[in-house]
Parts: sequence; C-alpha cells; structure tokens
Amino acid sequence: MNIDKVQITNEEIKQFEAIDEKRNALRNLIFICENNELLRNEDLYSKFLTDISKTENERTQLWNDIMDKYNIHDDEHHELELDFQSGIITCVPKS
Amino acid sequence: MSENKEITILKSGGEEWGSGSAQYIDFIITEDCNLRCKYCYICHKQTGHTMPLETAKKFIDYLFSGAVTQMPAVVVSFIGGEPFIETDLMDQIMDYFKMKSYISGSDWCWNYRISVTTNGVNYSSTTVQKFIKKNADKISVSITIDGTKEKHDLQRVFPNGSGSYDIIEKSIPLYISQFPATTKVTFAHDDLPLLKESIIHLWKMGINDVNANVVYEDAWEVGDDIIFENQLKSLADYIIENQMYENNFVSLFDPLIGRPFDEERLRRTVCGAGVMLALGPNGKVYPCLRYKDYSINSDKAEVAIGSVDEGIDFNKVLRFRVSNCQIQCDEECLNCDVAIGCSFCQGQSYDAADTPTNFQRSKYICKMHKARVRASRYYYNRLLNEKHTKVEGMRLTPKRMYFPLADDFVSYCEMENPNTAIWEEMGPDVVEKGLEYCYENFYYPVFVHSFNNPDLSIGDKYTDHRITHIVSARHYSETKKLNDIILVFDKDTIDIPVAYQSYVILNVNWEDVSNLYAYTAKLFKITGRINLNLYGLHTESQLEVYEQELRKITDFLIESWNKNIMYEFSKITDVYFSKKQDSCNIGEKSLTIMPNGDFAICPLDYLYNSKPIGNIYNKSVLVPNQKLYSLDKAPLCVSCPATHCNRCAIRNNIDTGEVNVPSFSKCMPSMIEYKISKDFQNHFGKALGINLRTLTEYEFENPYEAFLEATDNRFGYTIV
Repeated sequence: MNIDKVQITNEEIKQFEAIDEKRNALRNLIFICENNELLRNEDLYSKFLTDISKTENERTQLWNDIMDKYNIHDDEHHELELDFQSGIITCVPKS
Repeated sequence: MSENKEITILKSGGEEWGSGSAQYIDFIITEDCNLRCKYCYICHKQTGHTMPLETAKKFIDYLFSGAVTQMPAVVVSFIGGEPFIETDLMDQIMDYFKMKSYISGSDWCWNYRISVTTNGVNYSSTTVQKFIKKNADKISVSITIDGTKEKHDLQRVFPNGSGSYDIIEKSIPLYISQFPATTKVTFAHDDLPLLKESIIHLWKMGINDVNANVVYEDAWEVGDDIIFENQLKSLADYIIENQMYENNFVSLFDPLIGRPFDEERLRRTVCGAGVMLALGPNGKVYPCLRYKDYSINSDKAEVAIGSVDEGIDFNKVLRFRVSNCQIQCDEECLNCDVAIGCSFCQGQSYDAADTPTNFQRSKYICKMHKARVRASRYYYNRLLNEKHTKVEGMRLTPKRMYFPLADDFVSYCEMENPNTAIWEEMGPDVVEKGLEYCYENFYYPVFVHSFNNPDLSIGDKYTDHRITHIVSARHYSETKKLNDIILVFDKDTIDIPVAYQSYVILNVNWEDVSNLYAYTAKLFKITGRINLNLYGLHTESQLEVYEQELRKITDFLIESWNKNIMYEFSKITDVYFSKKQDSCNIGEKSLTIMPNGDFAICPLDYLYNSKPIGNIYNKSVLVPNQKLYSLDKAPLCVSCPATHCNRCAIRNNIDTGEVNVPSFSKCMPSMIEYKISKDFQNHFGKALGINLRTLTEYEFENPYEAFLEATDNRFGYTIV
C-alpha cells in the first residue's frame, strides 16, 4: 500500500454515502422478503437481488475511480477505510 | 495578543442526518407508557389506544399515492407514549413502509432513517434488540436518562410511584455500545438544584453529549432563575477546572444564544410543526404530536390537519406554514436583546394561548432563558480568558458599554477626545460595578484605555467577562495578555511593528489627509480592516485631496479584491454591507460609564455636556428623548444611501443643535465616499461570490436636497 491517508472531496463522500445507503436498504429488503411471510414476493425478491448486484458493482467502480484519482495502489495485506465525517481514507492492516 | 485555538461547537454526533432535506413523519403508535414521568407533556396517557396496523398502512399508501410531494429523504419516527412497548407493530409498519417505497420507485426506499425516543425500560429486551439489529444501519435511538438516581427518580417514575433509574441504568452500557451516546434531559422546578451533579453524572456514565432544556410550561417559581444560573455557573467552573471542555457537551451552554433577532430569524419559527406529519392511533394526522388531544392541558380542541381516510387538508396546514417569530412574538420578545435561543414549543404555546391561535408564543421560560444566557457567557468568557479557547460561532452583539478608563482615553470614533492629560482614572469599584451591570443587562464591556499611560494588566483581573480593549498602538508591547484588542494608530505610531490584527482604527487629522493612502498601505500589511476617523475641520481643498487619496486606496482594493483578498476600508467598503445607516448605537443600545460612576450616552457627550443619564450606584439609566437617536427619527439620514456614514449624534448636536440632524460638513465627505464606493463597485462585480449591496446613482448633492425633493418643500431661503 502506497499511502497512509488521503482526503477525498465532499462530493465523493456523498457518492459513497448514497451507494452505502442503497446497499444497506436493499439488504434490508432482502431480509424482509426472506423473513416476513406476509410480504414475501418472488418477483420483488429477484429485483432486489439484481439491484444489489448493480449497487455492489457501482460501489466497486467508485472505489476504483477514487484509487485511480488519488493514485492509491492495492495490496493484499491492507484494506482501505473511509471516515464519512472527515472524508479521510486510511490504509489499515487487514483484520 | 494571545493565540486562540478554535474548538468546534459541533457535538459528537455532528450534523443531524438529512438536515434540511428530510421529511419527518411521526407514528404515534401508542398513547400508553410504562412510566408516569411527572413533567411529561403527554398529560392524558391512555391504555389501549394503540395504532392498528391497517391505519398505518393506509397512511403509508396515502404518502406514496402521489398526493403529497416528497423531500429527498425521510425520517420515520416512532413515539408514544413509549414506542418500545409496541416494538412488533413498529417492525411491521417499517417493513410495509420499506416495501411500499421500493414499489413506488421513491428514493425514500433507501434514503431513510428510523428514529425512536424511548424511556429505556424495555431497551435490553430481546424484541427491541432484534429490531435494532435488523435496522442497524438505519436507526437512531435516544434513551432518556435524567442524571443522578435522585434527579431521575424524582421525575421518571412507574405508575406505582417507584423510580425507574435502576432498570434504565443497566441498559446504558449496551446503548453506548450501539449508538453515539446522547440523551435528552428535562429540568423542572423540583430538580433544578440537582442540575450540575446530574450533567456530570451523565458524562461520567459515558454520555458525552447531553441535550437539556427546561420545561416550557407555567411551572416556574420566583428565584428558580437564580438557582438555574448558579447551577450552570458551578457546572462551568467544574468543566474548566477539570479540563472537560473539549469532549463533553451540554446544550444549555451555547455560544450562539443571546443575541437580538435578525431579519432571517424573524422570518422563521422555532420548529417543524406543520412541516412534519404526525399520525395518531385514531387515523388523524397532526402538525405535531403536541397538537393531539393527549397533549393538550387546556380546554382547547386538538388540531388535526387531516386523516388517513380523507387525506391532508392543506387549508388547515396553512396557519403553520405562515407562522414565524415576527407574528408569534409580542413586542417585548421582538425587542429582546437576547432573543436568540429563547425557544418555545408551538404546540404548548397553542395550548397556553389566550385564544385558539398558533400566533401567540408562550413566554414562561423568559427568566430561565436570560439566566442561561448569562451563565453561557460566563462559561465561554472564562474559556477564552483562562484557557485561550475561542468557541466557533460566538459573536459580540451591538449592545456595548464603554468604559473610558481615564480622562485621556484614546480617541476611537469620529469625535476626538480633547483631553490630553489624566485628571481622573476609573477606580476598581466603578469598574467592578460596571462589569456587574454589563453581566446582568447583557452589555459587552469595551475598555477604552488611557492614551498616555494605560494599565493593561487590568485584563488579568476580570476573566469572567469578555472585554474588548481599545488601546493606542504605542502600547502594543503591553497588550500580549489581552484577548480582544483593537489597536488605534495615528501618524506617530503608523510604523510600529505589530502582529496581524483583524481590525484596526486609524486616526488622521484633516491637515494630514494627503498622507492617507501612505498610512493605509502600511496598515494593510498588518490588518484586513481599517476603520478611519478624520479629525479637525476640513476645507474644500482638503476634500479634493481626500477624494484623490480615496481613489488611490480604491486602486489598492481593486488589486487585492481581484486576487480574492478582501481588505476592508470603512469609508469605502462598509456601504456594501448595510442597507440602513449604521451608527455606534449611542442613545439606543450602547451606554458609557464614566470614571466617577455616572452613566453617559457616550464619553464625548459627557465631556461636552457634563450631563449624566444615570449612575452605576443606583443602577438607573434614563436617556432623555431617546427616540431622537433612532434612524427613523433622523429626517436627513433615514433615506441617505451613504449607509456607512456612522452618523454621530454628538457631532450632530454640536454642529446643528440636534442629535438627529447632521451638518453639511458631516455629509460632504460621506457623499464623496459614496461616489468612490460606487465607482469601485464597477471594478469588482460580484466579488468572491458574496452578495453585496448594489449602489445606485445618487442624484443629489447632499441629503438635504433629497429631503426637499421628497417633501416637495421649496419654501424658505438658502445661503449662497
């Protein structure tokens, strides 16, 4: 890993926030479909799965764009963490 | 000057989620509660009044039917009674909301938060924990714990009268492990003496962010404000002595409170009643739960704005949408020097109003608010003076009290002090009494120091107060320990090396006006703002030189503003920031205490007229004919576009015999300055993205000509 800290812009923080909000909401909807018999709906369930896959891809793409922009290189022993309040990405050893 | 470090007033949780872009929707899922808190505003709790799931579903269907516009985000709140006695219902409502929002294609399906305010009794139960876990990334919970066991159990009791502290305390470690630790504490008459120890107790439990308020109801007794203030001051002492000020917060201390209303605040009201939606168990929709019958103490009817069957009637919402402080406050509140932060609950105000109106605010907390403002100032003043910690957002108000500490006080405004020697100095007794008066009556003290021989160690003695010190630059080396200084430069001190100052005063004699640009250029190396005072009488030729010098200064300003360095020169740039004529507020908001303890309109007025307007020893002040000091009563100034002129009542009085009528010699330089400012405006356009006032052509030679035109008064002679 070639960095200790990177500061991203507010706009980029918002992009990450929105994607994470969507991902968490879709996970929740999948959980409801799997556990609430009254609301179970196979068509919706498969839509949720498609949507979450799309959202995961968008998230990966955003990380890749950020890594390119800030010249961050990946490393198998470390992972990146984003502090949503400060917008600082730090590199920490993989747990 | 001491280095101040800035600390942020943002609390640990930061800005509220969705702030400004979220629709708040409250589900009153039950009118019942497992506690019977004595101060609770839900005065008619009822067992069995639980929201049917079908009612909630109907409302959700209505929200997504297209009948109501949607904000980008939504906060779904569950309130009661106690919401966690109906956790399964809450879960079913949320499941339905989430599915419905997704099916409707609304952004609310992902851009939402769930908010629950609970008494904490059931917090650790399996059902509640399962709900929290299920919504882990989307939920915020606030547990109410009031402080020490004694304080908590005094108010928050079970129906059998026993205290709830022990059971709630057990859940706090789990709560802190799951959410940013915060709580909401309410103080009422009985528990005020326990305020300090309660807040400290909560901090020691790990709840660093404590929201606290006093009840809005008519529940206060004589002397409660003094107990409140003393408790807060004692808490302030504790925080400072134990260095707890960077990591512990209690909302009772707030640097932003205690200023008069400004136009922007008058246009708004205090809360979101009528913007938010609250659904009752009976299917009625309310502007806020405080308008529902279970919260109304008087014989007034509840206020519903619709129902799940009939939708929302916007005619019934209108009264809330047009509510603002300007309409809801009476004259006393509108003119209050410390109005900001004196909150009220619109629902409680409706309940307490003389008629069933939303336009009469409740005022029961007036004295408590003033006590809070005083204690807040005490706290932040001590932080600044003793810990050199300046809190973000704190601003001085226009209500100042000037302390000319000796006869030869340094000249700081457009009236020059004619005294050059000291005959009388202000003694410690007058200083202390004056500061006490400032504290009680919300004045900011301004010490105007001796020109020749100031005692600048005085700043060490009064750390409870935020004192601005006006000092001649010749004594700069003695000012190191003072926090707020304004240096006064003149031709003899212009070259004295000083550290950067945000603002300085420059005194120049008209005879020396040809050096104005040279002085200014030197000072802009050490400051971002110059307030210019010109002394002596000017001649026509001096006015011509003045205009030339101002044009040179303008060239300097054009160059700097184009580089986004926004230097301010009072005679040229102030006019962009004010729509109405500025003044030093003498006779209105400002006051002076003389070395002998007399109150005066201003130091110069006292020197010229020797007429006190009161005395510190009997704490009486009476400004004769006070109305004449207001802009509305200044016939030549009220419509004058040269709003930077800083009309001086004392000089007016000397020149024309009236405090509200300026002489031509006062107006002529102001007209030149306005013309220069207007020319300057053409060079910077909309500089730095700041919304500056646009100056227009002034077709008159002076305000008297404009007055004649406006009044169509052409009678009488003129002097040629």
